[in-house]
Amino acid sequence: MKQKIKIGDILVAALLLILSFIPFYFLKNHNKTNNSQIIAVIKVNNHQIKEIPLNQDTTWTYSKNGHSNTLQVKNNKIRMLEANCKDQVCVREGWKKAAGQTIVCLPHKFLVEIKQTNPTHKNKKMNFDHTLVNP
Amino acid sequence: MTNKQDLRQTVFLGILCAQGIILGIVEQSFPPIFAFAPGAKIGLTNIVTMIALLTLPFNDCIILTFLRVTLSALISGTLSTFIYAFLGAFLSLFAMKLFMIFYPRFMSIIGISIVGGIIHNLGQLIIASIVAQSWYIMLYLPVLAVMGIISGFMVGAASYYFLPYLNTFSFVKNKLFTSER
Repeated sequence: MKQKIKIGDILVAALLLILSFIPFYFLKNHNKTNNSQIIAVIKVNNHQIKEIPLNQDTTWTYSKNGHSNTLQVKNNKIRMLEANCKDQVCVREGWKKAAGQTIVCLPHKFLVEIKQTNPTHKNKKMNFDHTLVNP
Repeated sequence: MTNKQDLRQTVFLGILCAQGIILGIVEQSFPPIFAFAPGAKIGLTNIVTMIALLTLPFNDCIILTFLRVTLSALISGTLSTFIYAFLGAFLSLFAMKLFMIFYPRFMSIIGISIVGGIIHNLGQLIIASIVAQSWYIMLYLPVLAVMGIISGFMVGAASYYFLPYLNTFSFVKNKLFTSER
């Protein structure tokens, strides 16, 4: 039973590591549209609680059942200012500003998604037509 | 004679199942080691799945995984952890079975358990993004893949050192010799 790490192991591990970047690529291309307001959508337990526009500075606290999360908005950026969850991953994530980024607090099932208002079907359709005409 | 073999295999399956449940409980009591990646676990129970794949027929592996996940959810867990564990365990089982065709020649136990670790994390992320209805959670995948490689390496090394002690079983001995050739 003499056995070492074989070359297939390294190849497969590297391949899977590269493949794991696929969703990164896909989801980044989705939000390249301009000129619409950026908002943060807060969901707790999969229910949408609140939308916060990122162009005015505020702090906002959500607390329920002893779970409390405080969000801070400043200079078109948002961060988790403090939370009383045990791992503090959400707090350490720091500032987020681009649509598509998320702050997740898994212990509290607290999700902040940054989105753009008005995905504007017109805009999308124009882009689509444009690519159809000039491929 | 074959009856006796079947009995031994069934007893061995039961032992593995019990060990898997205990390992799961032990793992839950650890503090989160990879603090910067929520949801990443060491996956100690993958040792049991690994050993079962190497020694038992595939039907028994499916039964073992089902029993282990269900029982550990009944002992310590909720419905949501059951769903997470169920999809992760079965996806990684099938992925490892798929990569077993490379086993003696191109890949070692460590490589197969790396595959299992990565696919386990992938399954958990899929469930998480279905629950949250937001595919942006999949952006965690590269981090969790690195964690899966690290934990898969550890699990593979552990089952590599565990395997020689199984040679005392007659049915295991035959299996190991055939797989080595």
